[in-house]
Amino acid sequence: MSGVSERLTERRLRHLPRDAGAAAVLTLLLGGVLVLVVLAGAALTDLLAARQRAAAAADLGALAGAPAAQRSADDACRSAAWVVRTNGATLRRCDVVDGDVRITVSAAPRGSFSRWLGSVLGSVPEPTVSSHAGMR
Amino acid sequence: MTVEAAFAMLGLIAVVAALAWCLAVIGAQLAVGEAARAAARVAARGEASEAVGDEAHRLVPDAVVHIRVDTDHVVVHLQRTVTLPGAFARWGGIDLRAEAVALVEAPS
Repeated sequence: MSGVSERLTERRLRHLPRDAGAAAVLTLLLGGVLVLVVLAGAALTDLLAARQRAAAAADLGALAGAPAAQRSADDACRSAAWVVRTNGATLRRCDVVDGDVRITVSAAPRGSFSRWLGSVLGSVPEPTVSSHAGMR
Repeated sequence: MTVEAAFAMLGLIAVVAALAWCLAVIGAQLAVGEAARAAARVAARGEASEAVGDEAHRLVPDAVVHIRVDTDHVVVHLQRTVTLPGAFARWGGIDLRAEAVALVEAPS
């Protein structure tokens, strides 16, 4: 059985150049690699954007908490938490040491691809940034 | 292989060019976000709206800046339209936006 079909294929192939169809295969391979590159790029971009959002929120949050830190640590952290939240991030830690507000902030990637990746993998990394500010 | 490969290469070159443009857009978006943050920092120091807008324009010269001053906080909103390169520009572009909020220090 297999001998017959092999002989048929051989006869058909004899009339074609040996590398016929190679370009299509190569293109598909390259295209597949490109698609992977695009998806990886999308995830990385989202992560970069989230990191930037976390950094901005940490910066502005610490600045917002600094004046209130001279009254009470609770006030400082409440101000910081509000600013961090309105800047699209989450306050993870807030300490006041010697009138210096030290906060740690994280932001989740918001893109639809990252959300899909999160539902498949269980979680995606959340960039975390720390910042501090004080009045002296 | 040659004709087939030539067409395939054209397609791949188009895809790579599109990818390069996407990279440029990503860079521009990060710049817009950075400018919004820097402008909000200036606002947090309690400086006037002109100074906030100047800071944003220093980092992204062609950005449209909206500054909303509320009782105790300032919202800085940046928008910049990136068009497709060259002859494709009339097909439109992408709106990049970023927003940052800062508490304003009470004058003491």
